[in-house]
Formats: sequence, structure tokens, C-alpha cells
Amino acid sequence: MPSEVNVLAIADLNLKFRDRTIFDNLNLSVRDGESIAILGPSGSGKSSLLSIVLGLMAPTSGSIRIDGETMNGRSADDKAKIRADKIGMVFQFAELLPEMNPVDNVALPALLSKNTAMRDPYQRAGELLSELNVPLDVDTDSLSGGERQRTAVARALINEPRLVLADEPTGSLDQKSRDLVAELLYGLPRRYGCGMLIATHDLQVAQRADRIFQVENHRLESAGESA
Amino acid sequence: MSRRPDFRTVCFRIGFRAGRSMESGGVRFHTLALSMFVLTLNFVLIAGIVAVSIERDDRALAGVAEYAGTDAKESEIVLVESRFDNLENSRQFEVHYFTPLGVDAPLPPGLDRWPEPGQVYLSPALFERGADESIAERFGDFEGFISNDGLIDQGELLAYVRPQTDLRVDDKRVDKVIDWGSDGATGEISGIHWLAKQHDFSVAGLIAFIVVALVLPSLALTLVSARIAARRRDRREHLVSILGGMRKHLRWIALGESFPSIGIGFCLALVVMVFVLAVGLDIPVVGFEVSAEDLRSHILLIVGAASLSLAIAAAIVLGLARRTKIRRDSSRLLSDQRLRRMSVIAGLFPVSLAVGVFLPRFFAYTPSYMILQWVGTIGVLLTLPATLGLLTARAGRLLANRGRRRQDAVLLVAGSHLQAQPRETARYITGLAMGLVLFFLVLAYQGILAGDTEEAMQYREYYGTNTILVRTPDAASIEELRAFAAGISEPVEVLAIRTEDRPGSTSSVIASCETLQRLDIPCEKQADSKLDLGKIDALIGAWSSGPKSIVVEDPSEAVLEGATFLLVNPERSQIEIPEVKLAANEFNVIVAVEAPGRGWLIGSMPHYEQAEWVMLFGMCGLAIIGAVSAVASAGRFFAASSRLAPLTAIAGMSSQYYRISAWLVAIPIGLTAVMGTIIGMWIVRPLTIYATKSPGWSTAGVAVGVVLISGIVMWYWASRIAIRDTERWRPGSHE
Ligand SMILES: Nc1ncnc2c1ncn2[C@@H]1O[C@H](COP(=O)(O)OP(=O)(O)OP(=O)(O)O)[C@@H](O)[C@H]1O
Ligand SMILES: [Mg+2]
Repeated sequence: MPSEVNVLAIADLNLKFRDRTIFDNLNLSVRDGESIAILGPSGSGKSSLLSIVLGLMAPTSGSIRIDGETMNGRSADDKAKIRADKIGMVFQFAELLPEMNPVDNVALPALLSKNTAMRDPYQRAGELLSELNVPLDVDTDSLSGGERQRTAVARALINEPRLVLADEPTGSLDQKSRDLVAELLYGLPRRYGCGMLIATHDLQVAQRADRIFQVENHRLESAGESA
Repeated sequence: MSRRPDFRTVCFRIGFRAGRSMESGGVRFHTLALSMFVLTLNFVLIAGIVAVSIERDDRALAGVAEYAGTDAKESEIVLVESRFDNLENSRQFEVHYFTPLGVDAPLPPGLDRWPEPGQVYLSPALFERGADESIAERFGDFEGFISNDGLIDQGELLAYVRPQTDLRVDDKRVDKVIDWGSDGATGEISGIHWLAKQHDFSVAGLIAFIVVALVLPSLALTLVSARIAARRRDRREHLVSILGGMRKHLRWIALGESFPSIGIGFCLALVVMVFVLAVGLDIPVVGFEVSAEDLRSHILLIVGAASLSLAIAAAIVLGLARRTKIRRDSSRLLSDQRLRRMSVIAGLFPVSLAVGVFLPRFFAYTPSYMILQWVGTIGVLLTLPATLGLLTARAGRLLANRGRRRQDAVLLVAGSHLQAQPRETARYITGLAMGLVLFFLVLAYQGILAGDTEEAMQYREYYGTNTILVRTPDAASIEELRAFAAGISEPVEVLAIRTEDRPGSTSSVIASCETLQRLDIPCEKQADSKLDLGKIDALIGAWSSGPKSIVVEDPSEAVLEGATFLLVNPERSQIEIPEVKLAANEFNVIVAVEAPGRGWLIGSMPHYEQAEWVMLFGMCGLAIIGAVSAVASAGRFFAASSRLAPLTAIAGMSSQYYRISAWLVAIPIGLTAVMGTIIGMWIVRPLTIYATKSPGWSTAGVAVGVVLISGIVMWYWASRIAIRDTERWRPGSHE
């Protein structure tokens, strides 16, 4: 059961590009252990929403809180710190570094964020990969598409994030791998104790989320909850 | 119905727009423009050298003498006697003495009227360079300049003199000339410019050197520039070919994309070219003045060369536009078999170095000396790629492991990159290392030739000039000799050298008793062969073919039939040669003044000056090679950084790029520059160990510096670009 703690709270979000409105008073909260899918046609603003959550794009107005910490009015460095500590992200193309093995790839964000509180990143990376069924001692180049995406998922989890974002995580996969990765992703919030926000235009993928929203009239309309 | 637009226009436009999107901060735009600029200037340089050498040869031909036959009319004859002279630090030049016999005598090139007796015309370069030696007064009264059309180039040292005392028709040293100029002499060019042409470096050799040192590196620069930051372009080409695009379409897109940068580089080069065509060029370091007129008279050749460079650059860009698979930087680790083979080859590297550097000394003065040196050098060049590849891989593994242990993302990323793709990294640093080794080899060979000069200069330092030789080949008067001696401000003793006109006889020094006493030499009436001539001067003592005894007599008498005098400073301090040459004007005959042993120095001067050309072009070539490795390594860095962008954007660690690109760009180039220089200086040791002029530490320092500059500039630039690209990254921008 999702708890009552909000790992992401978006209130009264407005986003305009010149005279074009993308978001108009958008509200959204994601609870700990909960997965939310955002559906929407191309150009509706799904990626923009993720950018705003990441603090990479400034909204026209509105407040963003991540795990209780507000992103508003913070310096770029502060935002980066919150981002590094609290958010993990899965990209459409796995974006793995082919010259490094999967374990190195997964450990990299931990090394980059210099999270000293964390126990050995390599040990954790190895555990995550085993849990996600990725073979350890192989070249990243020879991983299959699904394995690559699972490696990317492990990488998103290495810093023990409170919130995992995914932008079209299954966009580049075939039907079978897509199902596997979707299953994996939706299992994360409960398994690892975080919130999850997936942007996709694949209805099948969205349907497995706890809650589904549709971008309509520049805000999020509920499109159903899973049983 | 509207007409379907031509596919060329469409594709060109697609490419043009793509080019403006400036992937990776437009790094390709700038490097391609730079390479075009450099390439065009290289071609223009070669055309310019051809143009100048054609014009020089033409003017040299205009100075070829046509000698009088037996039927020549006397009024058409000019008598010419030519002497060598030199400035204190110049090569030799010729002084031509003229006595026209009649009104129809032909004026030498560069004069529009005959000088009066005693008048002198000098080339502007001689006038300028000889100013502190009062060259204007050395041969008589300076009247004016030899005009430029009479000189092969503006740097030529040349003097025309009409002597006070007319040259004599019956003198063996005097030539009878009835005309100047030849249409197409074959072989050696004689006459006015004979000596200057003798000193010329071979034009074909110079061009060959430029092709190797400048043109090839520039072509490499064009190639790596066209390939840099190619991720988006590769995808586009892939896409276009999937959509049914053919090679011609890709070509037109490539043309549209590269046209602006190539065009700008070309235009900048044209601006420089037009400027040089307008005002000429004073080439630094070597001090050669290129005349704008010479270039302008071969404008077609020069414009043609520039166009050729444009065509070649276009061909390179078009040749790369191929139907490609997306070039995933395939980075499978090197296979063990390959690594083993590389290790074996790399193992031969120290062996080659040892053969080239240490073995020759055991074979001194045998042919094996040079053979071993060559075998070693070739071995070093052949084993260098594998060695550097292996070193890169090892260094990468070390770095990556260190990164894992110390949890340092930068070391891990950079190390993994180097370890996974050692050959890509090794390729450009190998080019750099080889460039440096070859640079030192060329310098060493030129240094062997020029080495004489340095040695001769040391010799001059050691012995000094407290003894001067003055030859009066013709009879002169004792009054002239006295006036001459009085014209020298330092105290000088005049001694003469007498050589018996018998084969096998040695010569002796003639001096008066007073002179000998002033030189602290006991005055004895008989010739004393045991006498230490070194007491007169250390140099005379060391002069193997010089006088062996002293005869006490009045040396002034010798002047009556032409003699060689020794001027010795009893205070053992220097005599200023230019001043002695000036004082020699007191003689009505032509006098030669020289320091014993100085011919050595003067003779090696042309090689010394040629070494400066080698140095200049070699350094330029190194700078280009440095740019090639900087651009190529930045390309490797971008391949890594573009994949890192999403991660670093989220971690907010974009400043780490300074460190990553330091490891991938600046440090490999820096280490290679130092290593290449050390290997280069080492491998040439057997060549330079017996020559005093060897490429020294200052040369090495400049070479390393020249290469490092591009590495450092590229390090900073590439880091900035990667940081900006990362800061621009947003979810959904899947580049
Ligand atoms: N910096 C910007 N300036 C102007 N318009 C922008 C900017 N960034 C995004 N947009 C516009 O905002 C809209 C939303 O873009 P976004 O990438 O968020 O859509 P999306 O829902 O992710 O679409 P897709 O499903 O195709 O990925 C688009 O129409 C886009 O053109
Ligand atoms: Mg999107």
C-alpha cells in the first residue's frame, strides 16, 4: 500500500512558451511506493514536466517539492544536489557507456554524486544487477536491448532515490522486452521504497501504473487507477 | 503546377541547415575552417616558392656575362673583376669592380648609368646589414642602390664598384664583358649572381620538405576535422540512406553542410593571400623578403594552387559522405590475441632504441655506425604505434582501476575509454610522436651541415682576431701602406709573409726588429726556425700551412711587388675587421682582408641559414600536427561526453568534464609531446654527437610548447562545449 508521504508534490504549475500554454494550473502528487503513468500525445508536455521536476527547466510559476524539499528559488547547485540525492532516471535509449562493463555503468552515478554515506557502490551495483537478472561479467556492448534497459534501471536505483523518473522507457524496445521492463519498473516503488513517474504514450505500458493521468487541456486528468 | 525543385538544391539546403545546428558547439565548423585556411596557405606557399624561384632565375640569367671574343670592339667592352667579401656574420657576397672601356660598354643589371671612378652602388640589403660596419665607405664613395630588378631578391648582398684606378685589360683576373643577360642558360649560372645562386637551397628539396612537413599534416587536419562531432551527422546520413537517399544525395548534403566553414577558411586564406600579393612578405626567422611583384607575375599559378586546395578539401568532405551504418564507436575490448601481438611488437621498441642510440658508438668510424643508427631509427618508427597503443591501454586500465578503488568517476570514465579503445587514442598520439621524431631527425641532418658554423664561431671566439691577413695582390706604395696602417684605431704591428716561389718551400714571417720587440720576441738577424711563432699569435702557431720562421727585415718593402701582410695587435686585443677593410681604401689596388681560418665560418654560413628554414617550417608543421592530435582527441572525448550528458545533467557534475577532457585530451598530448621529444633527441644523438650544433634543449622546449598549446586550447574548448551540451540536456532530447 502506498504510504501517505509525498515524494513529489507539484502545485499550481504553469508553463508557457511565449504565447503558447503547455501547462495551466497543473497539480500532481506522487506518494512513496506509488507508480504514476502520464499519458499524452506527442507535444503535450510530458518531457517538459519531467524537466521541471528535475529542475532543468524553470516553470512560469508553481511550486515543486521533492521528498519534502522545495525546488523553488534554489541555486543550480542546490537543485543538482537534490537531483543527485533524491532522483533516479531511466532514459529512452539506455545511454550506457559501452567502454565500461555493466557494473561500472551502474556504479557511475554513485561515484559522480560522491554520496559518501552510501556503502560500497560496487557491491550494491552487483546486487542490483543480479536482482534484475543482468549477467555481470560481459561487455556492455553485447547486452541485449532488454538487458541494457534493465542495467539502466539499476543505474537509476544506485543512489537509493526517493523518486524514479522514466521518459519513454520502453520506447526503443520490442513487445516482449517492453513487457518485462514495464513489469520491472512498476515493481520498483514497493520493492525499493520510492515514488515513480513514467511518461509514455504507450497505453499498455501506462495501464500497469497505480494511477494514470492524461495530459488534457494543459493539466492532468485522471484516466483511471489500476485495480 | 510548380516545378519540382532540383534534388541538388534540396539536399544542399538540408545540409546547409544541418551545418548551422552546430553540433558540439560548432567545433567541426571551426576546425574545418581552420584546416581549410591552413591547407590553402600551404598550397599558396608552394606556388609562391615556385613563382619566386622562377623570377629569381630570370633575374639571375639577366646577370650572366657574355664575354668578348677576339673581334669585339673596345668601346663595347666593360672590364670586370669580382672579389668575395663578407660581413661579420653573413655569408659571402661578391663585389664586382667595373671599368667600362667605351661609351657602348654594357651597364650591369640594376644600374642606369656608369658610376664615376671611386663611386659605389650597393644592394639595399647589403647597405642595411652592413650599416654598423660602415659598408657604405668600404669600397669607395657610396653613390646609390642597385635597383631591385638587378638583384635576384631583396635580400641579396651585392656591391658594384668603379675603382679609382682603372682595371687593366691585360690582368689575368679581369674579364672582358660585352653584354649581360642570357636567354635560358643551361647548367650553372655564371656572372653577377653566380655566388648567390651557389648558396641556394634546392627548390625541389624545399617543396618536398614543405609537402611532408606542412601539406600532409594539413590534409590530416582536414580529415579529422571533417570527422569530428559526427554523431548527429552519422545518424542523418544513415537516415537519409534508409529513406532511399543515394550517394549523390549524401554528397550534396555534405557539401551544403561543410560549405560555410570551408568557405570561410578559404576566404580568410584569400585575404592573407591578397594582402601578401599587395605588399609582399618579410618571412620571420629566416628574414627572407618575398617581393609582391614576383608573386603578382605568377598570379594564375597562385590562384590555381588556392583553387586546388579547395578542390582537395571538398573531395575529402565528399569522400567521407558514404552510406554508413551508424558508426557506433565499436569498443569491444582488444582481443587477447591482438594484445599479445602488440606486446611482442612493443617489446621490440626498446631494442630498436638501444640499437639506434647505444650500439653505434661501438662501431665508430665504420659504415656500421650509420647503418645501425638507421636500423634503430626505422625500428623505432615501426614499433611506435604498437608501443603507444599498449601504453595507452595499460595506462587506461591503471586509471580505471584507480577510479574504482578511489570511487572517482572521472578516472573510471577516462580510464575505461583509454583502455577500451587504445588504438583510436594511440593513432593520433602516434602521429604526434612520429612528427616529433622526424622533426628532430631533419634538424639533426641539417645540423650536421650547419654544425660547422657553430664550431667555426667557437673557433673564432677562442682565437679572436688579434691577427689579420691583408693581401695586396698588386704592387702598391709604401705611403699607401703607411696611410692604411694609420687608418686603424687599434695599435697594430705590420708584418709580412714571404713565400718562396719554389715548390716545397715554406713561408716565413718578415718583421722589423722594433716590431718583434714590441711583440716580446727577441730580435735576431738570422732566420730562427726554432722560434715559437705562437708568440706572435696562437693562431699563427696553430696554422699548419702557415709560415714556419721569422726573417728580420723591413716588411714595408714587400708592398712594392704585392704581398700578404699580417696585422698583429701587440696588446693582444681584437682588431675590428670592418675597420681594417675600411682603411684598405688607402690602397689604390683591390685588397683582401680576412682573419686566418675565417673562410671556414663563412663557407658554412649558407647551411646555417638553411637550418633556419628547416626550423621554421618544421615548427609550423609541428603546430599543425599538434592541432591534428588535439582535434582528433577532442573527437574521442565528445564521443564519451555525449553519452555521459544525461547522467551528469542529473548528477549536476558537469564541471567534471574539465578533468575528463584533461585525461583524454591534454594529458595524452602533453605526455606524447614530452616523450616524442625525448625519443627524438635520443635517436639523433649518434648523428649529432660529433657535431656541436645539435637540436638543443631550447629547440625541444619550443617544440613541446608549440604542440602543447593546441592541446591546452582544445582541452579548455572541448570541456566548455561538453559542459554547455550537458547543461542543455533535457529529458526527451535523445541525441
Ligand atoms: N524550450 C522550448 N521553447 C519552446 N517550446 C518548447 C521548448 N521546449 C519544449 N517546447 C514545446 O513544448 C511542447 C511540449 O514538449 P515535450 O517535449 O514536453 O512534449 P512530449 O509530451 O514529451 O512529446 P513526445 O511524446 O513527442 O516526447 C512541444 O510542442 C515543444 O515544441
Ligand atoms: Mg517526450
